[in-house]
Amino acid sequence: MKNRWWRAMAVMALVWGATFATVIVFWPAGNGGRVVAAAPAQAPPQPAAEYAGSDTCVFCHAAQEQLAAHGRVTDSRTPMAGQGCETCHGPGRAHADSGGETTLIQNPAAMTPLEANAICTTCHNRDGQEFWEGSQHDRRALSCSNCHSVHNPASLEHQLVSDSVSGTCEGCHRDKIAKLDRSGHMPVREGKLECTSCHNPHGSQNVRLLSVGNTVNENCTGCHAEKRGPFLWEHAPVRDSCTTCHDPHGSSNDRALVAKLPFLCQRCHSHTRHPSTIYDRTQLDNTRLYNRGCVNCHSSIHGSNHPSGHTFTR
Amino acid sequence: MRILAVSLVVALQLTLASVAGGQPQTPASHRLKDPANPGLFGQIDFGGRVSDVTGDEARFQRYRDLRDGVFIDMPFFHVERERWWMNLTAQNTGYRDQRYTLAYARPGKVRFDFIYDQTPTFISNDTRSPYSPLPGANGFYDDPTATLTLPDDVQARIQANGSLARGELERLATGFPTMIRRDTLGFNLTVDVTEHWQTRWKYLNTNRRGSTPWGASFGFNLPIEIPLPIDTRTDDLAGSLEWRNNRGMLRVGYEGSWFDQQAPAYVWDNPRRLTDSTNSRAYVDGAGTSQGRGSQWPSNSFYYVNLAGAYRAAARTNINGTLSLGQSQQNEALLPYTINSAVPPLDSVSSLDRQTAKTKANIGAATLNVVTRATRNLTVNTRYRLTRFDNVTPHFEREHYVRFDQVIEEGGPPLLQGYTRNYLDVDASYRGPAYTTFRVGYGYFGADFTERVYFQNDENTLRASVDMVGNQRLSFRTLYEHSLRRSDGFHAAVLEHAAEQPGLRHFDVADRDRDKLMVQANLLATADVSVNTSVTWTKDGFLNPEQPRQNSFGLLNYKSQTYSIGADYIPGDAISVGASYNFDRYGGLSQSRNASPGPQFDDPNRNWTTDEDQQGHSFLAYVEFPELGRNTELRVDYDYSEYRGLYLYQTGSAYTPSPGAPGGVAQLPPVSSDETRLSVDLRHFLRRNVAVGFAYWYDDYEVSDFTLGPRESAVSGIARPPIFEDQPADSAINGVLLNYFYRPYTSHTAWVRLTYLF
Repeated sequence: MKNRWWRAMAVMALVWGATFATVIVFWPAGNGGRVVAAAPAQAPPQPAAEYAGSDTCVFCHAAQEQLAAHGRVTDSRTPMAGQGCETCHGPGRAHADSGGETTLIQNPAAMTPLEANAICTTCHNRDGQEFWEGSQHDRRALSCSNCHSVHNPASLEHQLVSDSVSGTCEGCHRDKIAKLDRSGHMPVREGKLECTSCHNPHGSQNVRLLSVGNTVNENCTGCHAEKRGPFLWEHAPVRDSCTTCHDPHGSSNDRALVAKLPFLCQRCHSHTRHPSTIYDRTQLDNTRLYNRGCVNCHSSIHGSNHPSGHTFTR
Repeated sequence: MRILAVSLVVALQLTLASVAGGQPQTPASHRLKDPANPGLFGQIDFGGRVSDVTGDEARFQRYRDLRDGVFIDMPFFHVERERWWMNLTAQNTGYRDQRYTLAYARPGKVRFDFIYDQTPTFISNDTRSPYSPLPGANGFYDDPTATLTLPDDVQARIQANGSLARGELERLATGFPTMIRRDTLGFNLTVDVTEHWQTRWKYLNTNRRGSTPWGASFGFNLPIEIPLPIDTRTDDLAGSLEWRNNRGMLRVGYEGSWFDQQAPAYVWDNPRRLTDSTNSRAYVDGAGTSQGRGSQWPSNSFYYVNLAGAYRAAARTNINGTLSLGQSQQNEALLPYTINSAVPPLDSVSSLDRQTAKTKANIGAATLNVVTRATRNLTVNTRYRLTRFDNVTPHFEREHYVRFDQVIEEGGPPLLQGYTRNYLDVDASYRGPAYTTFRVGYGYFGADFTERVYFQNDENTLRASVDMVGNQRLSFRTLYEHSLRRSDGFHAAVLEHAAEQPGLRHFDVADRDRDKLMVQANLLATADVSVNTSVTWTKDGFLNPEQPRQNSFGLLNYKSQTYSIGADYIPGDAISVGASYNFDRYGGLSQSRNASPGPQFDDPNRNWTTDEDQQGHSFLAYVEFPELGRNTELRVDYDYSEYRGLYLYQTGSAYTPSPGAPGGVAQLPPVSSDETRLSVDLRHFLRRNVAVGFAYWYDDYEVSDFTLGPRESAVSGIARPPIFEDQPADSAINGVLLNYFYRPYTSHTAWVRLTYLF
C-alpha cells in the first residue's frame, strides 16, 4: 500500500507541477473566451456608448432596484461599482433604445445554467465558491438562481430564494429534510445547525459536498473531535466512515443509528456464542438486548485506548 | 440612530414549526426584508414563555432551553454605512442555548465574524443512580475525575449475600439531570491585503461539559450504567494565504486541531464486591473486582498543510485541485491492564509494552478537477481524488489482557487499520434541445486496506442522467447508476482474530452490486402553484465469492426507497401555503449462525436471518400570511412524522424454540414512534415598528420500543427487574441502569412577546 501511495503522490505532484508551471509560463493575456460579465472596476467607469447606465434601467425596472450586497458602490467588487445593472446584464443601450426588446439584453433567467452561472462566477470565485466548476451541483446543471435571488431574496442573508438555508435545500432534498424530523437528529430544526454547517453547496474537495476535511470522518470529527483517535484499538468501520453506522440526517433509532441494536452489530458480527444469538421476544430481559443492547458492555465502540480494550468494554 | 417613522401596523404571524424552517423561537418579521432605512434596521423581542410538559421534558427540549421565564432575542440587527456594515444577532439571552453572532465587514478590505454559542443536549431528567458523586443540578460534575463510589457497607452486604439485592441500591439512588452542554466561541478574520492577496484566519474553541449514560459493565450478566463525566476542550486554528487574479488562484494553508480530555480515565465501584478477587467465571457474573477503570477518548491532535489552486485556462477549461498532507496522533498515557489488585501478572504499568499510546497516522489527500467546455454544448468533467490514512502506530505487543477487570485472557496485538482510496470520475454532458442536458459518466473507486477482511476494493460505476432545466415551467432530473464493487486479497486472519465465521463479509468492503435510480420533477403549474416530486431507489446485493450462500454471513442485501411529493401555492405577498409528504423505507437481510465452538460452528441448519424493515412517513404543511390585513403577520406549521421498524427472524431446522415460544421463534414486537409538532405564530403591529406577538407550540411524541421504552422493556428503574409489580426489595437483580429511556411527552408552550423594529 505504501508504494501505491507514494506513486500516486508523485504523480499528483508531477501533474500539479506541470499544470502550474504551464500557468506561469504561458499565462494568457486574454480572457480565455469565458468571462461573460464585465469585471467590476475600482471606480465606476463612465458608460461607454453601448451602455445605457443604471438610471436608465431602473426607469422601467424599479422593482429590481433592491440589490442588497450587490448594490454597494463602495465595494469595488460589486456590480454597482462596475457598470451597474449592465455588469451582469451586459450592455443595455440597444435594449433601452428599442423600447425593451428582450433579445437585446442578457437575462440570466432565460439563459442556460451554464451561461447564467458564468456571470455569477466571474466575481463569486473565492471564499468557498472557488470549486464550483465541476462540483456535483454544477454537473447536475444547477443554476445559481435555483437557490439565490439577486433581486427578490426571501432571506435576510445570503439572498436565498427561501427564508432559510434548509428551506432552500428542501426544494430538491426533501428526503433529507424529512429525516430531520426523526427522534435521533442533529439540532438543525432547533436552529443550531443548518445544511451548510456540514455541506458546501458551491463545491468542495470532499465527498458529498462536505465542507470540512477530505473524508466523511474528518468532516464529522470537526465537531466530534473526541472520536478522532487514532486509538490503540480501532474499530474498522468507524475508521472507514461514520456513516457505516450513523445517518447524519437523522433516524428513529437511538443516536441516529441506521438500524437498531443489536441488529446493526449483527450485520458484521457472526461470532460464536452471544454475537450470533437470536434475540427474540423471549429474550427481552437479556442484557444484550434491553437498554442499549451491545453497547451496554461494548461502550467504547468508537475506539479504545485501554490496553484491555480490544473488545471496547474498557 | 435614526428614529424611524411610526405607523400603526397590526401583524399576525401564525407559525407552525416546519422542518425546513426550523422552529426559531422568535422569527424575523417580514418587514425586515424591505426596511424603511436600509442603513439601519433590525428587530428585538422581549417577552415571556411558559410550558406545560407531560412526560420526558429532556427529550422535548433536547437541544434547546425552554424553561419558563422572560426572554430577550434579537433575530437580526444590521447597520450599514458607506464603507462598512455590521450584523448582530442574539438568541435566548441568558439561557443554556444562548447564541450571539457578530459580522463586521469593510467590503473589499476586511471581514470579521464572531460567534458564541451554547448548545445543550438534554438527555434525561429522570436518570437516577446509587453512585456518588453525581452531576449537580446544572448537569456538571464538580470533579469529573472523581471515583464513582458506593457505600462500603452496601458492597460488603452484597458481597456476603452473593446476590445483588434490589432494595439496597434503590435506597441509595438519587435523581440527577443527564445533559451535555457545548460552548463554542470562535472567530473568522478575512483580510484582503491587496486586490490579489487575501489572508484568512479561523479560531474555534469548543468546551463540552456534563455527563452521558455509559455502559460500564463488570461482566456478561452484570450491566452497569454510569453517568460518564464529560469535560473536554477542543481548539481549532486555521490560516491561509491566497493569491488570485481573474484567471486563477493559489492558496497555502494550515489547519490544526487539538482535543484535550480533562478526564482521561473513569473509575467506579462494583456493587457486587468490596474486595478484589478473581476467578475464571468472574467475567460472567461480575463478582471479582471491587472497581472498574475505563479509558475515555484520549487527547489528540490533528493537522494539515494545504495547497489549493484553480486556473481558468484557454479553450474554456478550468482546472482546480488541492493537496493536503498532515498527521493525526495521540500519545496519552496508557492505563494499566486492570485496576483489580487480585489479578497477578499484568497489574502494573511496567508490564505494558510501552507507557504511552504513540498512535500516529500520516494523512493526506489530493484532488484534481478538470472541466472542459469543449464546445458550446459539450462539457467534460474529470475528477481525481486520493485520500490516505496511513496508520504508522508502532506495534504494540500484547499476549494477554484482563477481561472486564476480572480475568486474564489471551489476546493479541491491535490491528492497525488504514486505507488509501482513489477516486476517478469522468463525465461528459451534452446540452441538447429543450434545455435538456444528457450526461454519461464513469466512476472508479479503488481502495487498499490494512487489517480488513479484504486488502483491496475496486468499484466501477456507470451512470447516466438527463436533466431538463432552464424551462420556466418544468424541470426534470433523472439519474441512474450501476456499480460493481469487487474485492481482492481475502484476509482470513482478520476474521480468525475475532473468532468470526470464515464466511462473514463486512458489508462496507464486501463485493457489491448496486443500482440506484433518482427521479425528480418540479412543475410550475401556474404562476402561483408549484408541484415537486422525487423518487429515489437504491438496491445493494452483497456477494461472497469464496463461500456458498449457506455459509455467507453478514448483510446479504439492502434496499432503500424514498418518495416525496410537495406543492406550494404562493399567489403573491399576501399568502403562501404549502404541504409535502415523504415516505422512506429501508430494509436489509442479514444472515448469521447461532453456534457455540465445535460442531455447531459448521452446521448450516443453525443458520438464521433477520429481515429488517424500517418505514417512515412525514407530512409537513404550512400557511403563512405575511400581511394579514395591513398589520398582522401569521404563520402556522404542522409537522407529523411516523416511524415503524420491524425485525423479523427466520430460523433453520436446528433452531430449538425457547420454552417461552414453543411454536417457533417468537418474533419481536415492532418499534414505533410518532411525533407531532404544531406551531402558531402571530405578530400584530400596534405601530409601524412596535408589535405584540403570541406564539403557541404543541409537541407530542409517542414511542413504543421493546428495548428503550419503559412500558415495553423488561427494565424499569435503576435495576433489572422489576419485571412484575411489587417485586420484593430483597429480590436479586443483575444490572444497575440509569433509568434513561425513550419516554413519550406532550407539551404546550406559549409565548407572549413585544417586538420592536429599528
